[in-house]
Amino acid sequence: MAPTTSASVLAGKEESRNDQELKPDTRAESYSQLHVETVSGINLTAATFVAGAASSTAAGLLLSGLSWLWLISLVITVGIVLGTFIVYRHFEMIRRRQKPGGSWLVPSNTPQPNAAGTQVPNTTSLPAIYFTYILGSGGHTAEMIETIKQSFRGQANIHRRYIISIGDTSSLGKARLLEATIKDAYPGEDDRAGTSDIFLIRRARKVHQPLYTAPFTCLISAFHAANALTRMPNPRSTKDHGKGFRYPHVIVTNGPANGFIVCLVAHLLKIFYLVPENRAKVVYIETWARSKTMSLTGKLFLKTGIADVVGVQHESLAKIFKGSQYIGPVSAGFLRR
Amino acid sequence: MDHLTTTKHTTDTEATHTQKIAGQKRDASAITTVSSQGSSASSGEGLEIRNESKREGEVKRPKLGEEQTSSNRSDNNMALIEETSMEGRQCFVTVGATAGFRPLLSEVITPEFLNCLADNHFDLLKVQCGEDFEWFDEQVKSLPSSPVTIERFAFTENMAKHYIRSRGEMSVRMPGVVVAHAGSGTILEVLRLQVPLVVVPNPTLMDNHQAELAQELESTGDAVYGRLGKLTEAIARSLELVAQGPLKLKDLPPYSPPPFPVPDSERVTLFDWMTLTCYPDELRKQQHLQDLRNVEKSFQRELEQAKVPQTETVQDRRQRDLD
Repeated sequence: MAPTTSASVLAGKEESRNDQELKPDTRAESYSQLHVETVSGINLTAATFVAGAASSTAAGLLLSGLSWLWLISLVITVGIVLGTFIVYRHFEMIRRRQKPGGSWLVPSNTPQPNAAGTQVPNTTSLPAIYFTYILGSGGHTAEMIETIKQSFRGQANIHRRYIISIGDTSSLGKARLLEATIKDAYPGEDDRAGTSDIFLIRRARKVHQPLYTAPFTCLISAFHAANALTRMPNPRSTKDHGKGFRYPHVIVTNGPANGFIVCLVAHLLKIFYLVPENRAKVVYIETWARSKTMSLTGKLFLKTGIADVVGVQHESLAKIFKGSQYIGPVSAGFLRR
Repeated sequence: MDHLTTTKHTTDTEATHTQKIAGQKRDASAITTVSSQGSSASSGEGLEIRNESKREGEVKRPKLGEEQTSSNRSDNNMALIEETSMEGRQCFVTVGATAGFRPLLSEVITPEFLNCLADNHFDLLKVQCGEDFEWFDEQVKSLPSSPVTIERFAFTENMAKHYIRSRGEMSVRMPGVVVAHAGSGTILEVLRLQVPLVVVPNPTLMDNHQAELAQELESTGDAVYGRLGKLTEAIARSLELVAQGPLKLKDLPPYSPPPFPVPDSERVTLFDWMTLTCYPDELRKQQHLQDLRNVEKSFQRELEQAKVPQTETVQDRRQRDLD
């Protein structure tokens, strides 16, 4: 009984919050009115899952009045089962992963003599494209913005979500500026600018924060990340677009700590079937500044295998680190001309 | 003139520590020089003011009112600028926003470095000093004299306008140099603006991948690796690179931002392919199209290769006929 009531309370809260806070966005809105959302709750599905599992287990154990030995052995069993399940799902997902093919990873260096209709790949006919970009700090953000610009193509079926740490006003400004640039490129009723929103999540570890509290703050930002990944974009309601924009298609990060947490959460959500497997593809792009050594985050992504693509921007680096792909200098566009 | 300088001070919104009074005093003294010597002023101070007003009028240079200057220009520098009617070289030093970099700041105001700048026809040294602004300010004030103008400020969001001032534009200004810490954001922005760059890695940072980046840039010829203690060498090499390098950083056309959206032929398509992996059927289709394109391209290439000797033989035949 307990889990259902808690869930319903949560659901009620969620709905009322939705009503008062979230106004429907129009596509023609200017960038200054761009919807920025701070997270204060967690996603309904995840909450129900966690709350239900925890409370039913605890209640069951307490009521049955088992001895401590039984309790411990049960915990261990559950742990082993869960661990095996996670490991199995992890490797199963990696095995089934679509291996990126040769020619499409490297951006074309020479202009191709193509007519207007022969652009490959052509994604204009897809029902929905939903990108999530994680903006870090300073150089990371500058590189990410450049990468987005280098890969941008005006299409009405694209939604972009920017995930930014709370307090990172510089990245927020850059994201807004980028959206303004995109809007300027497609003025008026031209809907090829697509839609966008910005999510603010808690920083994994603030500067000078004591190390022993880091796991807790990481957990909080993980919940925020889960929310940012599973909350549907407001301009793309189920009514108009079905489940097309339910979950992000591609998550792009280039190195900030928050980026790893968001991607890890995305991977876990996929492991527990909370997000379908053919969604939330993770692309990690190693910063252009690294040409011979990999950053710590890069190594983490390589070792854990949670990224679908670990892209590096120097050929020399791709040769040293097996499993990484050379994708060209995507955040230094001027070098390709 | 007085009116102009005061509006410059008031319109500027950047939050930097300024010493307006000192700056105004200097301006006032400059004005007296101008008025006493008439319009054809021959002193360095008077010329400097004239030159500045010309810049304001001609190229709409961003205003730099808040920066305090202390100047004593060498006469041959001024003569050079007067001859070519171009803005002189600017050396812009930046340490970025995140961390201080005192060794770099203290090196750029050594007499050796300043003389090097003056010898190479630089007329302006501008320093973005970050958290060490007050310390640097004192250091500059304690300098007995300087052959170039030294301007300084703590930080601004809009760094691009300062970088642009070092960009060598045809009949507008001579190429200067940006001496920067090895932050990737700074480097990318400076290189995008086609400004000569000297990268100085901070040796005190924990892992020295900055040096790695600087070496890489030096080897590709995009920038000069500046080592602390040997910055004069780096300036010389940078000037060499500007004069002879493959980047052609001299006599550039005025800066225009790259086209946005990027043309389809130059676009990065990685994210599109990743999206397609979420739609397996569509991915198969597009990959098939891509394969066809590749086949077509290789066929065309073969055709062109086959054509080359053919056209030659045709030409040969014509030649033979003519003979």
